[in-house]
Amino acid sequence: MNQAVENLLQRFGEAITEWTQFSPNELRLTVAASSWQEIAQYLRDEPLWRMDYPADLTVWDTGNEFGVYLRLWSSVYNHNAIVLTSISREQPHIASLTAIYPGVDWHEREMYDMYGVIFEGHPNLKRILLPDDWEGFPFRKDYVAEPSGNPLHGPQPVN
Amino acid sequence: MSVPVSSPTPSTLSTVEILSQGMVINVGPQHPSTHGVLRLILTLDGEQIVACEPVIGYLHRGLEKMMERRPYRHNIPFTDRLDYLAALSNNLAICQCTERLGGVEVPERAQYIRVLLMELQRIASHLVFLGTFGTDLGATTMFLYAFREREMVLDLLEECTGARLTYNWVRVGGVPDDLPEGFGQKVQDFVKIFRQRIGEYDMLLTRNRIFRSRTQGIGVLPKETALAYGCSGPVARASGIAYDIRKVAPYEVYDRVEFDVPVLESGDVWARYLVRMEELRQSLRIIEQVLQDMPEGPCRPNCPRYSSLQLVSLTRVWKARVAS
Repeated sequence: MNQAVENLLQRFGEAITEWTQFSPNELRLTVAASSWQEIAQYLRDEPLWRMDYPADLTVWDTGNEFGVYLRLWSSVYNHNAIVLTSISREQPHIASLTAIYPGVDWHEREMYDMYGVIFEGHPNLKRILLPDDWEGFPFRKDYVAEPSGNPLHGPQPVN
Repeated sequence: MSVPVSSPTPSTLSTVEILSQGMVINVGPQHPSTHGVLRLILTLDGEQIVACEPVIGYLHRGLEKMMERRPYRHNIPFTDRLDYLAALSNNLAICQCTERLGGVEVPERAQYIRVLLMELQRIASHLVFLGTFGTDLGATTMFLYAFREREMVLDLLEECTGARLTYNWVRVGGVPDDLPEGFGQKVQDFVKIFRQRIGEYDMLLTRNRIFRSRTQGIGVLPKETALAYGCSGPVARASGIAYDIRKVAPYEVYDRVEFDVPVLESGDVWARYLVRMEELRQSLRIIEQVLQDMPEGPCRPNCPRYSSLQLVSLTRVWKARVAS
């Protein structure tokens, strides 16, 4: 994995702000949001990486910014990689990875649904779990979960 | 997965255009009392489905949001309800997260108990697959066979945890209580019986020509597609991906027991069936080793009930209450 990491750092330079290797086959990278898509493409296609399996993609809210988390696995080398980045809460935009990993389609939709993060280039970015007319993004820490804000529509149960 | 459905006014369309548009059919959503509520928007060309957009979320309960407001340990019963066939695995997932966050040590015996119960649960889960799958293909007898054995597993789990499906039997730092007296012997008896019963399943299904012709070469999922879509579990392993989290990133005592991960290349329904059948046998292997190696000792949580970790979340709940 060492040679692969070296190449990666050389190729992207300052776009990778931090990296930690936990074990011989486990790596965590913190990257700049502007290189998000480019790095994912590199990790999938580079012969020394071949990260061809998107295991997970999620978002969290620190209160100041959104963190984006991508977990990859290589079926060729049995390596794990965690790629992290952060985006601002005011302009939550990040490139979509659906063209590289079709499997993250629904993950990105869910994160849009819950956090309002806009994945640019996603072919079908709309709510997936909540009703289409839901207001607000529930997993944001400043979300007010008052039932009056989002009354449930549809037939009410009859006693 | 999106379907472009344009709807120009009929007067502007020629006959050829109308015919080439395809027909859109809506399937579902079914009533919430069915197991999984799913709506499908299908586009047909004649009798062929050319596009399908699944619409989900009808049973979404916002568990994550509910969990945000509670101390970590209060969330364990919620995880029972994530999957009615894998309550223990989900219990374990949330407890492991909390243990890792707080650096909590789990007693060795508790780790063995966790693996033992989870493998029993895997058998029960695969038996539901086996029974209902057989029924769906017209082999109704299989249902009775599979559910007879599943009942044996559920009896064992009930004796230990007190529940048949929602076990709630993992705690942060251990398990709530030791195994009941004589439990090991009962599990050993079950393993002995069940190993023979798998042979009966083979006679009923695996060697059945009708069953084979209905599964072999059907629903092929190529390896590249399975990888790109991040498929996991038996689906991935039947498409040639050697991905088993118990081997890739072993937890509890999975690195101390010997077992094989069945991986097949053909990616069809038949392969997915065979992978699950082999996993039944491998689970029996794991159970036998765990029973043999299980050390004596404590198994209940050894960490303080209100660790700093829990206090943090308790404070947060208290704050939320004051604020509201």
